[in-house]
Amino acid sequence: MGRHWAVRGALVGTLLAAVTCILPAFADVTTERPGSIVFYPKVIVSGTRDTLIQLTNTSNSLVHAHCFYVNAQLEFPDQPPSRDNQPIWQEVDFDIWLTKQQPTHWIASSGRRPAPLAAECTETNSQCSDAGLFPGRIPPLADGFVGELKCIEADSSGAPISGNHLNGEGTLISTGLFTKGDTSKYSALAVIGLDTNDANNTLCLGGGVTTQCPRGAEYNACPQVTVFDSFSVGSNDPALGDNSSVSTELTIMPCTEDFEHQVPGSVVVQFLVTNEFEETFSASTTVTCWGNFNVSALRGVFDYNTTGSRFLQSRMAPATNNDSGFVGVVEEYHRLNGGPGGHAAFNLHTIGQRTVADVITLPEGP
Amino acid sequence: MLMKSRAMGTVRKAAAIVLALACAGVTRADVSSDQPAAVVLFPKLIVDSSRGIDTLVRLSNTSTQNPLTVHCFLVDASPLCPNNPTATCLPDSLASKCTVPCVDRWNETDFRLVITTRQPVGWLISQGMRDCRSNPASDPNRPCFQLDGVTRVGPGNQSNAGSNILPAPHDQFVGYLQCIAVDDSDAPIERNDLKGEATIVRNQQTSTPPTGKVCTSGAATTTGTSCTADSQCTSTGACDTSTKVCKLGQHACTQDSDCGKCVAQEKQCTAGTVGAPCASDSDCDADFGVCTAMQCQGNTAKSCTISTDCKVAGTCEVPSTQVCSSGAVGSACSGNTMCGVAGQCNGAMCIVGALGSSCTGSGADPSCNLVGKCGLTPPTVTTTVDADGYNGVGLLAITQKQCANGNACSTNANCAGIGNGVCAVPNNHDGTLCLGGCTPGQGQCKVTRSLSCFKDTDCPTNETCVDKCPTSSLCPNGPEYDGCANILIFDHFLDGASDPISGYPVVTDLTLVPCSQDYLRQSPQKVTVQFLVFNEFEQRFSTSTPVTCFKEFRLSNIDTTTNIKSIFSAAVNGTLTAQTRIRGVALDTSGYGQTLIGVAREFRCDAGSTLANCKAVSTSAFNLHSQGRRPQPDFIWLPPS
Repeated sequence: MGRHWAVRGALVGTLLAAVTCILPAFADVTTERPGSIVFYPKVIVSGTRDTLIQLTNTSNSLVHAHCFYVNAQLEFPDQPPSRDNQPIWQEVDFDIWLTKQQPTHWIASSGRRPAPLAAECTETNSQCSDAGLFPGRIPPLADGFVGELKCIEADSSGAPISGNHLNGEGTLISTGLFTKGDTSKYSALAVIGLDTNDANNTLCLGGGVTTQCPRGAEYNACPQVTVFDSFSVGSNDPALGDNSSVSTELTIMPCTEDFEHQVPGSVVVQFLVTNEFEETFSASTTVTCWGNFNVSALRGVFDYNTTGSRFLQSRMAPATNNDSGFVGVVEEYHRLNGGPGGHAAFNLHTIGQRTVADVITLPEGP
Repeated sequence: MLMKSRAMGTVRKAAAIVLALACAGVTRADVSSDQPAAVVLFPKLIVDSSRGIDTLVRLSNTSTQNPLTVHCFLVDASPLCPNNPTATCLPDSLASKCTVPCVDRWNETDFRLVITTRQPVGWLISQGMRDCRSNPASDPNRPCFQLDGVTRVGPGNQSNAGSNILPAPHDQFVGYLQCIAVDDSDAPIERNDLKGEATIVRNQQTSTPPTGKVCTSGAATTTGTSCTADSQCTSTGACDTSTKVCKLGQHACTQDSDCGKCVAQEKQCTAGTVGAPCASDSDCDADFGVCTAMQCQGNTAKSCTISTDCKVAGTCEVPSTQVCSSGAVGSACSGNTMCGVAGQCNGAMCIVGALGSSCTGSGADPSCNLVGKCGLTPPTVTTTVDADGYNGVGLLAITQKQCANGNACSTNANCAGIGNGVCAVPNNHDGTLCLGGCTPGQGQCKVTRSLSCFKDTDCPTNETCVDKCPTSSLCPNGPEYDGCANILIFDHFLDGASDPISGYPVVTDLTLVPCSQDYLRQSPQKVTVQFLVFNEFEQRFSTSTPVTCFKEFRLSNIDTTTNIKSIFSAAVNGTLTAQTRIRGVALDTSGYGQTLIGVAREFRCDAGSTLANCKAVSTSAFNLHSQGRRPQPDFIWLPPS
C-alpha cells in the first residue's frame, strides 16, 4: 500500500516538476538518452552490406511507435547524382509496439513477420533471429536501398506523444566475399519530446510559436553546429603504417521532412575545416532528402595535399535559417595495402540548438 | 488511518525527491558522448602487440576563440600476472598467458597538453606525442606536435609548446584516459570545449601451416607455383624482344627458347679420341703409341699388353644425354625447363642465377645456375585489418551563473537576499570536482512544494523550508559539473547468438569505470554494480558484481565462468538481443554517487572460437545510453598543481 502511494507520489511530483520547472529546449538530439523520435541516419541494403536495426522500449509500459523508411536511392543508381538524377525519396511506414523494457531487432533486407513457431536460441541453436515477442510486421527493403529510418513514439491511436521511451542502434554489416562480417555501429539519434506536444501530425522540433507550431517547440531542436574529427584524404593511419589509408564517409539527414506532401527537406551545409596547424578551410554542399558522400568530394578541403595535416576538425552548420537543420553520422574505412579493411562508425558531436523550428509533417491517419 | 497517514507521508517524500531532482538548478544528467565537455573520459584503451592492436585517441578543442589547456590522467588498469610480469592477463591476447590468477592494477600517470583554437590532435596510445622543441632529448620515436611554438605557431601565436603526451607504459596495456579542461595554473575550469574519439585498430597477422608443395626457388615465373619435383621449378625465362636480352640471365636472344634451351648434343667420339667432335667413326680413330710397361705411351691411362692394343678404332655418335645450349649453357638437361639461367660468379657469390649463393669462380659458373627447388609451402600469412571506435564520454561543466539557491542569474543584483547574495558559476576551481548532486542547503517549501528555499522566510507565510540537501564541505557551491547517469542502458546481442546477416556468433565485452576518481590519494573506487537483463520476451534476469577502478567483462562471464549458462547467453535467454540496465549501488556511508561510465565492444567470432575465447573477425564499439540522475554527487579529486 505504502509503495503504491509512493508511486503515486512520484507521479504527482513528476507532474509538479513538469509544470513548475520549465526547462529550456536544449540541443538535445542525443545519442545518450531515450527520446520520442529516433533517427537512424544510415540504412543500407546492397549486395555487399546490410543493416541490423535495434530498437528498445526503456519504459515499464507498452510503447507504440510509427516508423518511416525513406529510400534515397538515385533514380538511376548506376549514374552519378545530377540535376536529372535525384534521390527518389520514396517513403514507406509501419507501426511497431514494444512491451515493458522490450528490446527488438530486425534485418533491414528481411524485415520482420509473424513467426509464432520461431525457434528460440538454445545451446545447439544460435539461428534464432525471430525469437521474441512479435513487435509488428516490418516490411523488408529491396536491394539497392540507401536512406534513413525514423521512428516516432505514438499513443495507441497513432498520435505522436512525448514519452521519451525509445532508443536504438544501427549496425552496418558487410556481406561481401572478402569483407564478410565487417561491422560498424552507431547509436540512433533521439529527439526528446516536450510537454507542449499537441499530438497532431505536425511535429515541431525546436523554434518558437508560429502558425505551424502554435504551441512552440514540441520536441527539442536539431543542433545548430555539428562537429566531427576525421583523417584527411590521402593520409595514413599511424596504427597501420605507411601503406594504409582511411576514407571518411559522411551521412547527412535533414531534420525537416514532409511525409504528407512528399516534400524532402533540403539544406546547404557549410563546412569549416581546421587542420592541426589551426589553418581553416571552407566548403559547402547541398543535401536534399538525404546525403551520403565521401569527404573527398568536397573540393579538396579534406585532402592531405591541401591541409598538410593528418587530423582535421570540421564544423558543419546550415547556411541559413531557411535551410533545414540536420543530423548525421560518420563512417571511417581503415585499409592496409588496398586490401579489405575495417569500418568504424561515430556519432557526431553537436553544439547549440537551432532557433528556428524544423518540422516533420506526418501523413494523415485513419 | 495511521496507515493512510504514513502513506501520505510517503507521497510527500517521494514527490519531494522527484521535485528536488527535477528543480535542482541547472544540473542535468548529461554524461554526454555527443557534446563537447569540460571533462572527457575514454573508458577503454588497449595495446596488444600480439594481435596488432593499438588505440588511436583523437582530442580536439572546439572553441573558436581560445586555446585550451588539458590535464590528462592515463590509468593503467592492466591486470598483473603475479609470478611472471611479462605474461598477459588479457583474455583474447595471443601472448603467453598468465598461469596463476591475475591481480588488479591501478597506476595513474598524468600529463598536460595545450590544444589551440579548433585544433585537432591525435596520437597512438603506444606512442604518445611530445613537444619536440622544448623536449628534444625525449624519446625520438614519439611523434611531435605540429605547432611547436618555435618553428611554427598558429594564428594569434598559439601553439602546443609544453605539451607532452605519455605513451602507454607497456605492451598488453588496458586502461582508460580522463582529460580535464584546466587553466594555466592547472585549476579546473568551466569550459565545455573538449571532444574526442577513440579508435581501436587491429592489424593482425595470422599464419596457417603448409598444406602442399610449391617451388621455393627457381625463376620468378615459377616460384610459388605448385610442384611435385625440382625439375618443375626452373623456368626457361623470357626474351625481351626490344632489347634482345633474356629477362633472366641477361643472355642475348631472339625468342623465349633462347633463354633456356635444352638440345641434343653434337656428335662426339665415344670410342677412340673420346669426347672429340666428329663427323664419322674414322674421325675418331686413335693411335696412342707403343705399349711400354703395360701403358700406351700416348695415353698412359690406357692399359695394353702389345702396341697394337694402342691403336683404337673410333666410334662417332650423338650422346644420349642432352645439354643446355642457352640459359644455363652446358648443363645437362632433359627439357627446356632445366635450362633457366646460366649462373655467373664474381669470385665470391653468384651475381646471376642463384643470387647470393657463395661460389669461387669468375664469370660463367655452373654452380650458380639457377635450379629450382620444390619444397613445402611456406606458412600462409593472413593480414586482418579492423577498426572500431567510440566517442569520448564527456561531463559538461555548469557554465551558467547561479545564485546560492541554484537559480540562474547574470549579476549579483539578481541574487539579493538569496544566500550570500553572490551570482557566480558554481565551480570554485579547486582540486575537488563535484559531479552532479543537489545544492547544499536547498530544500522545498513544506506546502508549496514547487518553491525551492534555503530558509523558512523564502517560503509563503506559515510555511517552513524542509527536505534540505545536506551541506557539503567538498562541494560548498553544489554541483560544478553535470552528474553521471543513474542508470546506464545497454542494448546488445546475447553472447553466442548468431549475427543473422553474417552468420558469425557474437560476443560482447563491456567496460565500466566508476564516475568518481581519486587521483589525489591514488585510491581506486569500488562500486557494486547491479545488472537487469530484459530479453525479447520481456523476461527479466538480474545479477551483480563489484567493479573496482576499471572492469572489462565478457558479458557471459559476469555471473559465471561457464559462459553458456550465463544470463547473458542467448542459450539461456532464448532470444538474439537484450536490453541491460546497469546501476551502481549508492551507499549511504560513501557519500558519493557510485555511478558508472562505460563503453561496449561487439565481436563477431570465427569458427573455432568459444564464448570465452573469441577469434575476432570484426569488432564494433559503441557508447552506452543513460537515464536519470542522482541526488548524491560523484567526485574527481585532483593532485595538487
